[in-house]
Amino acid sequence: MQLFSDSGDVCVTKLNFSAIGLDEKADALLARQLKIVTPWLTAEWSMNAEPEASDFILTTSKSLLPSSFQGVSVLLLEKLSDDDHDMVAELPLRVFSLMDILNKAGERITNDLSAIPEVSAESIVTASEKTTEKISFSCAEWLSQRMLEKVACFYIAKDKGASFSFDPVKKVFRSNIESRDELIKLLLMHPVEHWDIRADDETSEAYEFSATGLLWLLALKESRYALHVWGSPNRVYRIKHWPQLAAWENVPALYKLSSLYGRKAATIDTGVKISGLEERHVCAFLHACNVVGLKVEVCDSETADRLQPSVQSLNILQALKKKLGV
Amino acid sequence: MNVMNLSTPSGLADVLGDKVKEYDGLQFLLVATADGFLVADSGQKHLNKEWDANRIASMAVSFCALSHSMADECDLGVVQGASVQGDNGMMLARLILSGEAEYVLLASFENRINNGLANWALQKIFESVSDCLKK
Amino acid sequence: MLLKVVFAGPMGSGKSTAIGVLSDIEPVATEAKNNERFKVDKPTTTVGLDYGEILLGDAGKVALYGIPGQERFDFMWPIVAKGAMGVILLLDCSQDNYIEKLASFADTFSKWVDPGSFVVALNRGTENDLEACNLLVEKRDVVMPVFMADPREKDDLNMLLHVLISNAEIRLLQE
Repeated sequence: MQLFSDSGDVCVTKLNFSAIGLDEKADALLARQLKIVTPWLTAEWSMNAEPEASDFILTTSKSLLPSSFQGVSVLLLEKLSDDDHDMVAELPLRVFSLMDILNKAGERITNDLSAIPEVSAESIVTASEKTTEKISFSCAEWLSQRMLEKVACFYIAKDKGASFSFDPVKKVFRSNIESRDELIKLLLMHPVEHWDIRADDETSEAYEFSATGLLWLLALKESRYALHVWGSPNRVYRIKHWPQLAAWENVPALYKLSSLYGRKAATIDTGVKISGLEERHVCAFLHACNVVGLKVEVCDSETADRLQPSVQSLNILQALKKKLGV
Repeated sequence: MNVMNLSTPSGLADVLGDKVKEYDGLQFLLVATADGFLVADSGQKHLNKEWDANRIASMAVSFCALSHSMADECDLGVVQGASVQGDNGMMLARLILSGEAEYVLLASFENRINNGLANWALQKIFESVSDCLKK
Repeated sequence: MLLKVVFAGPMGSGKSTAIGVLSDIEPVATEAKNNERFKVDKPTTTVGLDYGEILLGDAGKVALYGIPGQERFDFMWPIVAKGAMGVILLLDCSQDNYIEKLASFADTFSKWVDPGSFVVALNRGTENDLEACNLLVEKRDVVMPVFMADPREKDDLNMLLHVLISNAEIRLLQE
């Protein structure tokens, strides 16, 4: 789903929602989360204390819904099961889940759709579609530059409590956000120019993430930027070092790309054919390699492969992959 | 190549030298530790080509270890030794247990020496070397 | 159909352990009493080869070979490496000369496998060790996959095999 029109304008439909069955703390958190996601919602949402007057209700049980309520609702569950395909979300409600839910509910209300699409986990490489990513700016590159400077503390969302800092000795980011994926989503949601950057670290950040690992994942999501910078059809690339895939992001297609660009200089098109990924994701791979310092060379032409007797059949490789659980 | 400074049991080099002289057609003898270090050797000068006793010692040990594994795999029972036969002669290897230490004895014979004679000579050499290592 | 994967590395780097972890059969070992306990304090050492198998049913099997790591057994290395789909070099970063060992093994094994099929696995390493190894590899103008991995951990070993698989797939797909 596209959150923004090409011009960047957002819709101004006004909608309201209420939450039933949550405790006071969760209610307050929901209000704060709404504030965070507001700029990225396709409609103008507000919280309503009266369920009967709401366009949309989040509820922990269907029995709690007002009998007169005819609108759209989402069931909040402690644990999702495989059978839950529609109208459900998992507790605790994450910022991105709320954004998804509200946008999908808004879409359904305004377009009178028959069902709200499933709220599901997204793969790392496709998540960039749901961010504020700019075509001419890379948050990952910007951060990697800041890492070369003195210790800095970044308040991603002013007054929202989300912050992180860089420890140049241990080469880690520390944040008060527990989940690495959540932190990355916040980094992508909040433009750097709105961050509050300070030289002194006054925060009490409890969670540590490998700096290169976080930059790697962040860069992988910047596929639009990567396509803009790396997507030249005539250029051939080669990486000088392998990424730490097991530690950073264990996606089989990235092993293939690492093998390809490690073995020889190759075009983006070759990467697309070999990995089965889209062009922008191949570009994002090269962008990520570049950001974490794996040294991506731009070469003159595709180089010949080294000679080594090859395996005679893909079948045995497939069987081995299956055995290894790949 | 082999940098470990192993103390050679006294008299072992002399025993090997004497045996090379004593048995007709015996080209060389060497003794190695079970993990591939040369302990002593004699007789290599009889060969024309360049000869590295350290290397042969390590090879003899690997050869014996592989033979041992093969025998184990094929249920041949306790392995005493192994042999290699070529156009120009044959080599016989023999495991020696001396207290806690294990050694490999390797003997190379010219092709005019038949199997029976070579094995008889090896047994005699084995006894002398074992006695020497026990001292 | 048979695939062959070789585990290389100096004495005490975990080759026999890795084969033991991955093998579906009882591994074949050629162990002898270790006289170099001043170098690596373990009672026995491999003097011939280690052998194990990953069984893949009708598709075939993967033969796992471990070389004896000491240079005096280098005559075994080409014998074992012949026809290998790839080599996994295990290095213990707590050993003083592990960087020199990387250089020496890389030089030797590059005669038999291409750099992409030569995977370096650093045990007990830090990010600095990783950087040092990457730097050494880069100076030699080759691209070798270098990872942190513990030879006792099946997941780590699976990841190393996965790298060799991708490399083999790329070779196949490009032919």
